[in-house]
Amino acid sequence: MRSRQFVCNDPRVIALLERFVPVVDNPANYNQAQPERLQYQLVSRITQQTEYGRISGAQGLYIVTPSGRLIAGVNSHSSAERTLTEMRKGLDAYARLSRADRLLPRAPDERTDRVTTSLADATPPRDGLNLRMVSRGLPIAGVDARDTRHPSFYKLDRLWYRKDEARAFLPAQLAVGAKASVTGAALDRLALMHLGVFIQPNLYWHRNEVQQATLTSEVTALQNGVATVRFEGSARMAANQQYNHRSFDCELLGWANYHLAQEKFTAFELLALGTHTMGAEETNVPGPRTAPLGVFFTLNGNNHNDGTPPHFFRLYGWTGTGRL
Amino acid sequence: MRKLGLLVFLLAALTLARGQVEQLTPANFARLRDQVNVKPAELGWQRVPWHDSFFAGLVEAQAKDKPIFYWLYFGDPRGGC
Repeated sequence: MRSRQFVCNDPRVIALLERFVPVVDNPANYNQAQPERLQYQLVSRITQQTEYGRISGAQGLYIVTPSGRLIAGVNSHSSAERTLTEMRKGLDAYARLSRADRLLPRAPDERTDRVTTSLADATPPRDGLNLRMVSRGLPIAGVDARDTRHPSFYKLDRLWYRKDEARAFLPAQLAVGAKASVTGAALDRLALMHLGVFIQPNLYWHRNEVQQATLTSEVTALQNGVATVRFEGSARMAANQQYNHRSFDCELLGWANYHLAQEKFTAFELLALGTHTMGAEETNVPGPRTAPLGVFFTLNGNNHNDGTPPHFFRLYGWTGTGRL
Repeated sequence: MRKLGLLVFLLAALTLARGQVEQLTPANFARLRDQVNVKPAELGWQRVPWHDSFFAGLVEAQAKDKPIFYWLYFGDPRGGC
């Protein structure tokens, strides 16, 4: 997250990236990967050259050759200056390498070289509801600027619903005054995986930790084939795990527009505002234990990078593995 | 009397907790939404055509003879991480 905000969002870094092929990756993608695959072997070779010495646990911003040489970079996620230095160092090193040293002897073959991951085919449902979540701390005295609860940081995630799941955000009958409770996956996924979750290390709630969660939907207008609904609710979660005793207490307010003929949301804004409390065991966090936190949901953007799967997608149960 | 004292204490505690954040109302919704929501200046990194996988980047880098900028983090750094 720091690297996203302080490094990869720096205009100088963005400009210099044109001289590279930019790639994102997650070491977890290789947990159950096929070791005979060229992709695995290259990433293994690259991470062996880092301070981590192996794929598992490796993180950072690195400059690498297609042949798998690490020629610059470091796990410096907060310094654009440091990254720029490493990028220039990498460009110089790349230019000095022979073609045979910097490139593979042949073009990669998807059939034999590519590592398959559980998220490889993850795409949002075409006729469902695709939301973007932004979570951010609100100003409070005592929260250090390096604390990710500080308002200068934001957390980003996506929230996907199938068409039938998304319909639960609306009353069954779309008439002015119609009211209903939002239940099922619509509320569960939002509450368990997003409300008060994105404070490092991003711990989702278990079902029995949701002390209370309600969200009502009321049709407030029906015009030109579009129903407008108002959302209102509250939620309180309190973790009771061995190393997690956090809690979050919030109110929810929002609205949405639903196109009746197209059967899809054309606008969606839902804001959760409340207080997040760290667990008693988190004694290494300076400042107030309880701090205000906002979580905002809206329709996802259509930038290529907005297609990133939800952080807890493995818990959706759509791929046949994992479910809350 | 003890029950009344306990009730007062609980109400005070609840007020203190709630007092650390504004009451969410239609009147302040837009302002608080904008405070939480991501700002356009915070999305510059989205202009970069990040490859979703190392393999996809490898194919392009090999074809174009270019170095790879490898952004490696737990979770996807463009999302929850």
